[in-house]
Amino acid sequence: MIGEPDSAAKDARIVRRCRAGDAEAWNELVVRFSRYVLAIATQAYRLPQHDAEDLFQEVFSRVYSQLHTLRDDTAIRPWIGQLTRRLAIDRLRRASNREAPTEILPEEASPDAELERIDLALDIHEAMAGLPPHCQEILDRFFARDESYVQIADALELAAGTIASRISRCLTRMRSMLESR
Amino acid sequence: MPVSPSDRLLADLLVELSDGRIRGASGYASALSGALAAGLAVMVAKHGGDGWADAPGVAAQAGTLRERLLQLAREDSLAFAAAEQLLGQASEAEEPVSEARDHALADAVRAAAAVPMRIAETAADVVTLAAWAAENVSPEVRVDALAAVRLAEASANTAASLVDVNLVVRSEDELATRARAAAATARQRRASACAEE
Repeated sequence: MIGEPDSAAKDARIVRRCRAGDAEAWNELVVRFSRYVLAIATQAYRLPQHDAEDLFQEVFSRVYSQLHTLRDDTAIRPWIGQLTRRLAIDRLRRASNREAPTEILPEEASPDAELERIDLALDIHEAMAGLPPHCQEILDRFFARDESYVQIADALELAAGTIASRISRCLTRMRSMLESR
Repeated sequence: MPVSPSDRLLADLLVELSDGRIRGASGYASALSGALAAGLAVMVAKHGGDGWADAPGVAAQAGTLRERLLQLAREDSLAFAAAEQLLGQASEAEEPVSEARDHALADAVRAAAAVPMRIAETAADVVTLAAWAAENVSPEVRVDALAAVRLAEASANTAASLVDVNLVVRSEDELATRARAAAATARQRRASACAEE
């Protein structure tokens, strides 16, 4: 999970700078967690884009005003995640009171599995960033761009017969990075 | 014998296929065969790959190819139905077909050929992975790895033949060339993997 050793230490450093009134640190904090907040809003709770943007503003406004209540600086990610979930549920409840009862409710959205998936995706995204460029390239082409071994081989000027093993070795490196967190 | 929910789903699917309710049935069936082969490749890497460092990587790649082939099965059906509808409209039209409509029809028919080409390439990748697994997994599951090789080769060949019979794809066309190359790769890897059997 994100929020463990290296990543959590970096989170904590940013939080400490925010507490000290460093304006640049606030920008870093928003950039660092913006994908996380938006992913929870749009993927786990299926909020429409404009609601997700409102929620985003609300979350970071609360983070700004309530950061002093955070007891453990390394726990900023789960704290922001929890805050986002709570505010998303409030928003859905308000919408379901105003609108027809067929509107999606938090239970129907069954966000737990989706939240786990988002956490994992973010973990993988961070681990990818730590891999050497050739691994990032080959994993991105196969897993994200759905390219075949032949397409990858042509694009990277490699022998087609070596692509599967190269992907496998890069996955092994990524797994080691995730396990060492 | 009790019937499991997955048996029921599979039986329903086969009835749908038999009744002609799945458009582009051959492309759909070839993608599904490739997906089954990829599923076997995942299984052998997970259960017969003890001591083989690349087994988790093979399982992850085969799992991705399995999902990709399932998606391609759906895409093939949709693309075929769209082309079929346009062809039907063109043949029923009383007035001469306009050039723009002609182009739209050709585009739709060509799009319908692009999907089996991707099925052929993806299935050929399954052959590559399953053949690699067959060399490295335990003897107990080697026969399953080779079954995956053969099944995926059939998927690649079938899909490539569907590109060849497409109305607007000429034999020197890129789609046809890529599909044939994928089928040839699949054939070659299958022959090599099964040679020592």
